[in-house]
Amino acid sequence: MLFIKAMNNQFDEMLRQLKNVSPPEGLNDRVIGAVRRVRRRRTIFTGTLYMALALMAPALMASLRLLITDVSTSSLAPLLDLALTDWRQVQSSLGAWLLAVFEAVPVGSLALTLGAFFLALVLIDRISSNGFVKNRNMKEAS
Amino acid sequence: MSEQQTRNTLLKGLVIGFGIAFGVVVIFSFGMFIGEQKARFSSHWGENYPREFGGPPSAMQFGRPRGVFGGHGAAGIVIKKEPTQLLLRSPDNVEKVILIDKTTYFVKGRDKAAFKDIKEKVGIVVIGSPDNKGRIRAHLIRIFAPGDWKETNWRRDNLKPPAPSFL
Repeated sequence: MLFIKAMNNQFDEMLRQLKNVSPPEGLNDRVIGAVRRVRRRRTIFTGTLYMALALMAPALMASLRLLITDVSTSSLAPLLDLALTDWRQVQSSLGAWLLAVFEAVPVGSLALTLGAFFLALVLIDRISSNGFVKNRNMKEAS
Repeated sequence: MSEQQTRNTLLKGLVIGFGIAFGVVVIFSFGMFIGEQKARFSSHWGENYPREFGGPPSAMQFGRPRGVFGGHGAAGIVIKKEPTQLLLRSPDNVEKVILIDKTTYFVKGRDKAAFKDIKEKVGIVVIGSPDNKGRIRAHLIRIFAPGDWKETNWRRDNLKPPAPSFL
């Protein structure tokens, strides 16, 4: 205990001997400038994400519309309906039914729609995990 | 990280990597198989079309529907009934020939039906297998009552819809 007290006294004495140093010229401005730059960069990044999401909305609608049109002009719905109404008979030619269903699936528009949904989800995830948005949400909450 | 742990992580990575690669190859092969079936049927259908429906020879592909279509099933409106076959127009505006034989099972509502129950302009759904002339040999046919099932809309690439009497 005595040893620690002696060390503290010695340390206090050394601190007292230090000169009172003021920060270098323009440090405050540089710090504020850097903070502003980071903030501007984040704002641009978040804005771009929001813009991409806004552009994704019509693309998503268009791909969904294409999928619905393709499904309604294919034999998919009646073939699936057939399994519900005549499962026993379908079982006897299950292989042919499965192939018929797979042949009727509109793969192109399905892939397009799933891709658009995936991209939209990625964008939403990026926006929600962005520090700028997080800080703003926390500020609003407090 | 010990040597044992490094080896385990590497092994786990390899297992996951090979698993994903296997899954991708299986799905791709399945897609290729389905695509091949559709392409084969479409090709035979194109060759046989003039024989069944008339029109220019198959080498001239004018007015041919876009893309490929499958031959293991069909749904649509009966446009012509013949003693051993039906001519069907599906919602994607492709006319298909449905062959009927003794093994074909007909259903209408909850009851077993017969070939005579099929009339022109009624909707049917067919499961079958394609032959090498682009026709479908029917295994099961469900017959809808007139008006029960109708084509909701027409393909985007169809500039001129068929006559309303077919609806």
